[in-house]
Amino acid sequence: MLLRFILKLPFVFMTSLALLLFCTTMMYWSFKPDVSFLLTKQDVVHQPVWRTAFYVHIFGGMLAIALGPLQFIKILRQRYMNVHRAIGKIYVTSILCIAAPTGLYMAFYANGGLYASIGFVLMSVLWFYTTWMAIYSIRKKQIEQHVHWMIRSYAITFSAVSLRLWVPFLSLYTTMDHLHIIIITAWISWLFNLIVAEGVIKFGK
Amino acid sequence: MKTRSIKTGLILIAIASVFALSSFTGATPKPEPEKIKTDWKEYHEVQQYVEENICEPIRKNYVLKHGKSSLHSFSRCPSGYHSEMITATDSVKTDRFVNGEIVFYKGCESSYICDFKVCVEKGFAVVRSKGSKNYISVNEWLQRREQYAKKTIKG
Repeated sequence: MLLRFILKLPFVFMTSLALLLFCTTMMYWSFKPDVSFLLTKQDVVHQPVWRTAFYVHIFGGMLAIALGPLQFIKILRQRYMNVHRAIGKIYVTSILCIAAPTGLYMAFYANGGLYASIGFVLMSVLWFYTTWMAIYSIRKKQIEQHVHWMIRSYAITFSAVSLRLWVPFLSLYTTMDHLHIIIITAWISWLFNLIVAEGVIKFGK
Repeated sequence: MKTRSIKTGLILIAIASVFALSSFTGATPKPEPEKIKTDWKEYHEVQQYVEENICEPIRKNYVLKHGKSSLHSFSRCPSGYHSEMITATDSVKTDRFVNGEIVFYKGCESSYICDFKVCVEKGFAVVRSKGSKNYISVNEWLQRREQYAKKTIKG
């Protein structure tokens, strides 16, 4: 019983952080141009295209980050397959049609310049690809492949959380300057998650 | 079926990329690039000097009331003390006096801490609070802040 609980702790921790991000992102819905991250984007925040992309991106991202953990709950998959499918459809739509394309667009305006932009562009493309492959494999009835691609997809979705953990960690506990922190975290936020995802796929059977 | 799905996927990625790139180039009018000759090596040397001689002592001795970690730090913006140059980028040289501000970031929100003036070659580093005319050494500034904080608590 205790062992089962301990094994579930990482999942509970991940879900809590995902919900924390969901809650902290709510502040953007005041539509004020000087809230949190938007303070650093004053050069583009008044451009209608960028601003629209930003709100569309956080809408899709919020859906994906909050719904993703539900898909890993075994009981939901076994007993309520219709619910699993319905949530899955919302999850993939929110990434493929909303969050990934707008994320790709916003990557070109990323803080930290070219190197950070490349990191975010790659992340958006991989986010789209892994989610697409998850749908492709389930349509082919390849359940195991579907699970693997979904783990990879959510690992990239979760990079929104890990970015917000890496940045304060590096800024408070290292002497790295802010620009380097922004560039480095644009890469490790999703690369590290993908490595963990591969570990979960390999050893978590 | 397989080929069709891959084709559809590739088309979607291509459309998204073309849209993103076209909006990107269209959204920002390209002004003529300024010909600034910035010596980035020297710039970083000055930045490092400010970090070691001003930010570091402040970080060690001046604890802000909001503390180190808070929910604000759960952010994509780096937290902590940061130097921002007021002197134009191309004038930031190790043999010149360079002016700037020290700000404290709590996530993406920043608060002003003090002004600074440094010259790397002369080993010169002084600071002042907003409204003060004279620059003083970092240690003196820290002592004054401490005295002020004590008075505020007593009052």
